[in-house]
Amino acid sequence: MAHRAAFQMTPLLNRSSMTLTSRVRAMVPAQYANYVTASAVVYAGGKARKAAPKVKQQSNSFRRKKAEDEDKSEGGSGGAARLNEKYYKPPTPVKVEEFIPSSATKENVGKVLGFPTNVIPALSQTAYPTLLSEQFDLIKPAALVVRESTVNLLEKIDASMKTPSSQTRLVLTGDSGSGKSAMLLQTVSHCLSAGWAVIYIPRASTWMNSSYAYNTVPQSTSFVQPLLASTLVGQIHNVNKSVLSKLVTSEKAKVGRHDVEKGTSLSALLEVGVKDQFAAQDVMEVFMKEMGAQKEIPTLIAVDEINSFFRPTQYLRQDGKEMDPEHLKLPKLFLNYISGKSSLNNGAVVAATSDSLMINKSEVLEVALGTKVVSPYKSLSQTIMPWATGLTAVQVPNYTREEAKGVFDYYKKGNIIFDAASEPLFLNKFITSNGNPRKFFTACAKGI
Amino acid sequence: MLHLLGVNLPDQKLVQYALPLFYGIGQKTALKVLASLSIHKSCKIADLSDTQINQLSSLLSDMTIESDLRKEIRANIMHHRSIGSYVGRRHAMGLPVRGQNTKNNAMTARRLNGRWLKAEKREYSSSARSVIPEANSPFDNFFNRKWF
Repeated sequence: MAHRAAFQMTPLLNRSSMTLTSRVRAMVPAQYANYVTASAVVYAGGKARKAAPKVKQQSNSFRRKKAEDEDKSEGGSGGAARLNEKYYKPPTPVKVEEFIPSSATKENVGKVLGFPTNVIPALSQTAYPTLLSEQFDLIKPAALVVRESTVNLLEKIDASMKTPSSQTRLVLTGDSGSGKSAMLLQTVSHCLSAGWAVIYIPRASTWMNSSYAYNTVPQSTSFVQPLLASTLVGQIHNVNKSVLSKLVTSEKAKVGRHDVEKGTSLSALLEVGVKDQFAAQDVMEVFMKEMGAQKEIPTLIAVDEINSFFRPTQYLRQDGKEMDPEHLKLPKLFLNYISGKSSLNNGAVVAATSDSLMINKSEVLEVALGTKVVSPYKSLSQTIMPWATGLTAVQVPNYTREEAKGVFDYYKKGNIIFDAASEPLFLNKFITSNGNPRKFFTACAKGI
Repeated sequence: MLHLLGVNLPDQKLVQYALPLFYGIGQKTALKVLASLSIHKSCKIADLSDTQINQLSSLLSDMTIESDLRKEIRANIMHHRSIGSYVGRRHAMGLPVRGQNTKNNAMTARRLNGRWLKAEKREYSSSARSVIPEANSPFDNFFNRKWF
């Protein structure tokens, strides 16, 4: 079919000679190339109409808008999105040392250390947590302070390197803005530098908020999210390139429509899932089984916004009711590792709760962790409760004086403090924010 | 622009908010349709695959919507009129049907009631099936006149 061919094979001409619509079509990602969407069908009909000879237009005194004008106006609107240089100072890059595994010691508490250069490309595969990325935009390079609780957490992680993951299932809890996501980021960075395989999920709520397509699995009550699985497989592949090239599958497997021979490298296995999104779920399951079975490389499963795993999702079942995460195959796979039902031979599961959206709050998780006490008459979901057993809560406190001083000096060097930086100002900000990291940042940077 | 069962659904609209553009589908039925077809809530009309569009059109054609629904509503009101009930008379006069006060505040009823009968009159005015009872028969004229 001619129109289908035109849809995929758009030549890479320079910007001015392509129309807006053809450029948009060229930007369609590979996964969608095989889709026949409604607009493509209608477009084909429109094209048939266009093939008919046009009536000759009368010449007009007004110059008609052509494709070149569209390109020019696009460039102009893009320029307006840049910050006005008169009012916004460009960030002064601050010199910070790298946060390598050996620097997570008690002596370094209060020092602000940046992410190592070999870790930053891996971290940029997945987005930073939403509110932290605001800080990282203001001061470059992205760096976090080493805290006492960080050192304790990383000691636990290092100790778990040789033990099964079911023995180390930690959940970071604490007040809103107390540094849970930041600590999780530091753990991820630490493990990446130490040579672990890391599966980092910065926003688990996007898995459950009905933003990805889902399909029924025949002869079962489960549902699969092909595009989500494929995206996750791609992220894992890009983050752990060097680690995965050394590992191979231990047995033959069938993923979707493809067969994977025994002895294929795990990178090749993941590439199958990236190219074919409908095989991605099977790829994920085989991958997790293989990573769990081998003992050379420990695996870290890091999940932010874990509370969305312990409450009904926004997806609807066939009968119209909201379904639990256990009925979605990809979240169920991770729930098995979080609850300890499945275990990696060497590794750990670290998660962080998030208070960012009220809709994500999970009372079941808070009761299971012991951070909240409810009336015994309160009915909690008995289908979700069993998944939350055996989790260890790690309380993340506010800044101590020492940590806050280190952060304040870092902000001073990065030139983001709203008022003139001084010792009394530091005391003022520290006391009024009670050491809460997020409030301390907004107090220093915005003068609130 | 997806053209489905006589209604144009814009491509960039979410399916959840495009389905109520059909006469007879509101927010709740739209969600029920999404649930039965396993379409996620942030799916746009442009993201629907061919199979999903076919499933959607077959599901919608099984429901009474659009012209079928309008015929049903009109038939229900016509039934009241043809049996000469109080409800039918109120529809014909364009006044409140459900026992509301008319001393004040009957504006919505005056504006909206009776439009189904007017449509009926317009539609069937030229057909032989017109069974609207008029008070013009000789029998009525004799008995409804004031003789004394």
